Amino acid sequence: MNFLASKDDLMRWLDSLLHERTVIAPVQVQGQTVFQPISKVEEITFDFDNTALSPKGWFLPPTETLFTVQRDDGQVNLVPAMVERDAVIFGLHPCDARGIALMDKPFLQEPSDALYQGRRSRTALIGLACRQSLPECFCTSMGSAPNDPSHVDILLTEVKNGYIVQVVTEKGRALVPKGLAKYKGAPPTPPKPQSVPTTELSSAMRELFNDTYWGRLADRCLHCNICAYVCPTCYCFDVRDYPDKGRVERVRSWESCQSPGFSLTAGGYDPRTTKGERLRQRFSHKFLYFPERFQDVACVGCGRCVKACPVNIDIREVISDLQQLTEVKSGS
Amino acid sequence: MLQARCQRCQLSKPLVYDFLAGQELVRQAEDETYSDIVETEAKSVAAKKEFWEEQFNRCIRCYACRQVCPGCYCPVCFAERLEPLWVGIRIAPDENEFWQTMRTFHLAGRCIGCNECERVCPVDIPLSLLNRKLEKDVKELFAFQAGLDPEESPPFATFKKDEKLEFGE
Repeated sequence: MNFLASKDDLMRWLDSLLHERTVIAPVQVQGQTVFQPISKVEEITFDFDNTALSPKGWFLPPTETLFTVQRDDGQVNLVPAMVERDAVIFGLHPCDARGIALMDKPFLQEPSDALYQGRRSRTALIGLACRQSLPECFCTSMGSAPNDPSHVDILLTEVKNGYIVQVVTEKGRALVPKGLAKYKGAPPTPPKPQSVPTTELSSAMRELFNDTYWGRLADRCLHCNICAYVCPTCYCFDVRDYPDKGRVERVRSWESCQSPGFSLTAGGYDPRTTKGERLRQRFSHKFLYFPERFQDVACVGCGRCVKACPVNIDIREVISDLQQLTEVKSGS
Repeated sequence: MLQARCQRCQLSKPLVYDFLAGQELVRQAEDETYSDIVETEAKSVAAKKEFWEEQFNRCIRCYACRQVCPGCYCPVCFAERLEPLWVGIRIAPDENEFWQTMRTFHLAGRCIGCNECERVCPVDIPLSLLNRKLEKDVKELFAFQAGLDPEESPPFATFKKDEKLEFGE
């Protein structure tokens, strides 16, 4: 069922949500749009194309404490971190919601990740359909769409006199305020992002595993972690213990297969020492390993890595290069 | 339109080259007055603290600033050393600030102002304000600017026995 909410209705609604739960929304900070918890609804920015970082950080924070070990009266106790409050993420685009759905696969399969699962079950997603597609967008090629309601609880679509409120899940239904008018008109036509065919991608990855392509591509790669950290589906992390006066905190933080020490093992062996091997790992994970385990390609076509890469390594070009190279190899 | 780093650039042709391609640019460089740095310096300590906290809170420790820097050349960066442990893995305000402060100080008297670090930063931290502050200080304290004389060592890479240290003497 679809409703219509005026901008005032929406602000009142978000304000009432803010009284009972944490609201994470797009906010302007020093010229950047970022998702962060708000303290009042006036902080929200509605005028943005895309955020520099995806909202994945709410479920897999850049840094979080997993548990603390402490000594109380001679007893050693392990205190797990807990998710304290319900939350709602407002304003995420359908591609980012799909990113969260993809992260669910590794994190929610048994044994599930307790903190991720805790946040996921206590957080509702209020999506915002895209007004326009950006030059770097290619979501429709990656199983999503600018108006895709599949992975949100409620989807809002901006129209002239407010927002169409499309209730998708039961979780969403419980959040929608009473008394909204029904929306009967047709929804606006969604923008059309460019198409990036993914034909034969996994087999191309497998076939070109030892190709010199990776080394050539990596020549200009800086091996910073930008692509992984802006990506809504990259989820690798590092874990370390922080001892402090008889207390030990176990912390996990984002980490990426691009950083030089990532695959270094105890004893000093590193299976991926060259830049090409590390760059290949990024694309292998997205187009081969993840689909092998979880059926879907681990890319949502948000284009953040395309935009943020300092040396213009463009995942769309990599896809077409791989396809062309396999065609050349097979002589077709 | 020229980037800020190009507008500030005092050299229209390289100091060291084997062959100079193309014609020499005839462009009068603007005098380097460090107006943005002077402006920042004039702020109160509290205001500067607030400003930089807001900037560093956004840092995601992607290390793009380090990876792109022509002055960063350590085989193992202090940020990745375990023994001794200088800075941990937390992507959090304190450790972000420590990382950025150490990064900047390691480049004091060596940063040549290419400003690539600021260009690549995915969260737009104005790193040039830090780098240029130290460039200005080194100029004032040691009359030295990085990258102008291949024969001269940066101030923090030299030690003179008869140097007057203004502490503990």
